[in-house]
Amino acid sequence: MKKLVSLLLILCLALGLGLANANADEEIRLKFLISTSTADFEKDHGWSVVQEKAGFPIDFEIINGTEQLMSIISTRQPYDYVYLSGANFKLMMENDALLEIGDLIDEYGPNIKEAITTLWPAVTVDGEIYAIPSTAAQPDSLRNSITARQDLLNKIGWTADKLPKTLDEFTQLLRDIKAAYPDMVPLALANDTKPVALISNVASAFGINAGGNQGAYQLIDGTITYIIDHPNLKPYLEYMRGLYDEGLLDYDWAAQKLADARNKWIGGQAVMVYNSWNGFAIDTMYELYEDMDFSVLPLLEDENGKVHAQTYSGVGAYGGIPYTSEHPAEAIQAINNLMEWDTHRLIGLGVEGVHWEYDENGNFKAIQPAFSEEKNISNVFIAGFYREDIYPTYWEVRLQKNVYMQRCFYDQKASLLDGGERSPIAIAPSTGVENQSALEKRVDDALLAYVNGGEMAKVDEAYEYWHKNGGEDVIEFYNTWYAENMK
Amino acid sequence: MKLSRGEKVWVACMYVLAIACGLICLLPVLNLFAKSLSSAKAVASNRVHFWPVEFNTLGWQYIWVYTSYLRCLGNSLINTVAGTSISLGITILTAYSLAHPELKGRKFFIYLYVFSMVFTAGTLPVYFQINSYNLINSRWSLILPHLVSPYYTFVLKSGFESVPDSLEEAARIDGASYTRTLTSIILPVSKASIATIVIFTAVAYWNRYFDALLYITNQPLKPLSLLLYEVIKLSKMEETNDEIYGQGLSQTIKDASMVIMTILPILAIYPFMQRYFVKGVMVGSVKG
Amino acid sequence: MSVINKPRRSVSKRLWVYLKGHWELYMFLIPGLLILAFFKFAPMSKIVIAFKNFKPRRGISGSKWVGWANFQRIFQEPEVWQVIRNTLEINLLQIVVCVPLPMFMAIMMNEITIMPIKKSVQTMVYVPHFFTWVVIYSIFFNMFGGMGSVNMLIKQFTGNTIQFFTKAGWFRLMLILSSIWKGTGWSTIVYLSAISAIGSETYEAAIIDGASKRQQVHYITIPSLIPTMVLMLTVRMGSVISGGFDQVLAFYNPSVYDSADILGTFIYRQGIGQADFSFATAVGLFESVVGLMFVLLSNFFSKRLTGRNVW
Repeated sequence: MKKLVSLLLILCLALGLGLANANADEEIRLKFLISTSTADFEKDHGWSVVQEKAGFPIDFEIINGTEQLMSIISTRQPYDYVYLSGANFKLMMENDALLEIGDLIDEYGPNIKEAITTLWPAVTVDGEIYAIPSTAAQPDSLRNSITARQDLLNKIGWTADKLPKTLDEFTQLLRDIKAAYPDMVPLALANDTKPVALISNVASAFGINAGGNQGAYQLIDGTITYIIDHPNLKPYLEYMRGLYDEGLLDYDWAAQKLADARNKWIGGQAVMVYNSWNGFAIDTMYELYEDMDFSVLPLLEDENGKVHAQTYSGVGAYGGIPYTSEHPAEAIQAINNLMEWDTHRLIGLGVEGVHWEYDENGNFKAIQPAFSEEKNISNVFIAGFYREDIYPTYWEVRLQKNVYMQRCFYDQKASLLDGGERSPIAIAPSTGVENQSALEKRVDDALLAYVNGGEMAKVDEAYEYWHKNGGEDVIEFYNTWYAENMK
Repeated sequence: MKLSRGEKVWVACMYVLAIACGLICLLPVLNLFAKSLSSAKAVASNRVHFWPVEFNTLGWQYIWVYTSYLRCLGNSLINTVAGTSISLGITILTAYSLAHPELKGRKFFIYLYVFSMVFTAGTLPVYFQINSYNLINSRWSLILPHLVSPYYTFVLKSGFESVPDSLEEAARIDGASYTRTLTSIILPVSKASIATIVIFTAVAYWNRYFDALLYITNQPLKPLSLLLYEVIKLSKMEETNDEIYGQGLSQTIKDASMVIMTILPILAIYPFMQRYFVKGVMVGSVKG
Repeated sequence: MSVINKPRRSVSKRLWVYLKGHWELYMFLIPGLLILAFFKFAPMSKIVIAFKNFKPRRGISGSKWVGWANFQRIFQEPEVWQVIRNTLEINLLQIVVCVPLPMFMAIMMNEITIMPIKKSVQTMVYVPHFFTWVVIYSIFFNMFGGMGSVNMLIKQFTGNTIQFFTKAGWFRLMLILSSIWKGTGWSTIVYLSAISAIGSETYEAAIIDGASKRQQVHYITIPSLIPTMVLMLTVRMGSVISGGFDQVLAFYNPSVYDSADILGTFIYRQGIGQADFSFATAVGLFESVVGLMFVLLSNFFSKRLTGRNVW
């Protein structure tokens, strides 16, 4: 019985403790919600810098997905900062869950204002600022492009200096691959590279901007135009369909995810793959295949010899203050301190001479293994408020972890030549058209279906649907916004 | 007893089938184990089957050093031990009480438990309630809501009912209180069923991840099951998650190492649990 | 253990006497009832969210009442119907496959008389029951994923791979197979005990009549296991609405949301994840009520068929 009684006591105590937790300390501690990381925060160099320089002790907590974030918001738990992906930012706005922080930034955020120059329109609604826009870590880069097994291409005469630059050459390349490697997929493709169904290298030849991982909106003669209205859409689709009918593409295109397409390529089942520089296991391939080599295919030229692509740019993530925050002013002060030039570098890069040094050209160079070991996840502590002017440079140091990935990234960027364009809506706010994503999905599905052997009627139907069900409102919003803000 | 030819074939078939079943359960785990200890190259070229190829421990090291594995393991242990022991106490007391026909209102209490078993308020209402107790981001949010298991209560209740009445009555007539009867007579003869319930409750506490997925944002409180879920399911969706460490390691190896290191504690105590299965589970063979 | 008969006294007096003798039993109930009250019944007060248009910033009490509007949405949205269909299809499929299998496995194990073999087979087939679904998902993904051993084998024969985790039909197969893998071995325990209860004299009589082993199984073992199977079936029927949440949550991915979403995951991902709080609560309540009906039904059938309550 004694045991049982003590068990009961423990139970009551536990409940009591839980309730008593509420009122504990006097000193202000900030609570920051950041993205999930499986690594141990406190072992990271970035964490200790933050505690030292932010001006307030900060408790970092993690969000395990949107569901948890929404539960937190619905029950008004007091957090002082939350890292938000694009989709989560939209949800928070719809639920009126973010504080207007324009005034606070004016008062406490000189560094914030200095560090972010062009991105503010993305977070401004009716003149009020609702979050800190954090730059994409790789602005003006090409997100998706065709990467090829150069070792295999060499064997059939397509050496690195002779890679295709025109549509005809590209078709010929595919035919040669098909003839030489009948067991392999010539070009592995996935249904989740955005804009859907548009292959940047090929689209380039038709004057269609793709490869930027954003919506298929493009500036044509000064007007923002959606892909369904693009004058060259049909020729592009016909060309791709021709390749499909000849068996030169990937029959799993409509069904498989990027990870599957990549696996095909890595596993030696495909000669080329359309994907980003990110997440490669090219180093494994170097161990797997004799004389392994890879190359990034050029963007194909249009009739005037020009190339076209949408670059990855704009806002990568958002940093918001939830309406439940008990210390919004202090939170802005802390973020302001962390965005201060030297502190930002200390977190993003580490200590000169310990984690990084200048190379002979004056660029940042990581010192290994210290950089990998102590700066493993440092970026998560400033995620949501990267400095627009310098963070992308720091990020390129993180890229040095993998020489192949690094080469792929720079090769893709170089292939843009002078044809890379930012998406006109890269920093546009939400249009407020409720079914926009459903509309876009319908167009995506129709395009993807057609190039995979479907009917052109579906594309026409999607065209009608887009125009009748709100697509024109979307275009109108973007054009009005663009005229007011971007000219 | 002599077996005919046909019967011999029949029995032989059964042996082959049984061993096949055993292997089907064992080999996939062995394959994962082998992959967790092989080189990325060997794994990518599909050369790893049931034994590590080009043995190395990089995957295990990654989990050990660069995730909060140890702390999560500790949390899981605390939650499991605390949850199981408190839950066991409550279950024993409740089951003992409900096993007595002379308890007035017994039917009502039983229906209360049945109702709580089959009707739940739903994910969001429970979340709101937990929040109103200030238990979000507390260990107790993972322990308290699961302390009462109506099902095991009924299992144990029928176990107690199967103890011959004469045993207990004799003690009661001698003037022993219910408490004394419980501790000195009933519990000693019910060891097997109690052990079973301990195993089940503990495994349930150890494996539960959904609660933590909702209630825990504070990293030092994460249980191991949540870490596993994050490594396997979440990390692949997050674009910001560019951890630098882990060169020469493929995702497959990280995943495999995480899984193996999660199930190791279970496998370690499995031999000790096993002898209670057959004895104890009979009690729970759904008779009421 | 009966209350000793005493001359009639007033009600309160009798109550006093009763409590004096049995107060311990009530004390024993308190901790359990407290937990039930705090964590099972108290949350039901929050179900009001389902009848409001809940907005986080307004709180529960500040949000507007909307009556049954959220429940009407359940019946109007085709997506919900699809989810209900998925729930029933996935669970029924699992029941049909996963309930009879352990019976046959138990019969098979019963034939194994060499103890070391029997013991080690049992050890192996019980283990998966103790793994969490995330572990089982990893194991299955490792086998059936794009680069998994099964796909490599298939590729050798057909030249193609099968997308087990991203194609709707194959994904359901994954759910079924993983349920079988996790539960079959463990569930044999119940049947094994039922077999051992049959008694050797029944078999001996059959052997004297010249029945072969197969005939014994056919005419004795299976018929005597049927009641147990029916009972298991009815028990499982009770969770036809609520079953499978942990499993599907661990297994699914965006490309099979349409065909794999069951009520629980739908509430979690679409309701809570898309901040549709009131609707999520309404669907949850709907799930609970329909689930309750299924439990009552299954109990009714269990009583009719086997004369036993499920609980």
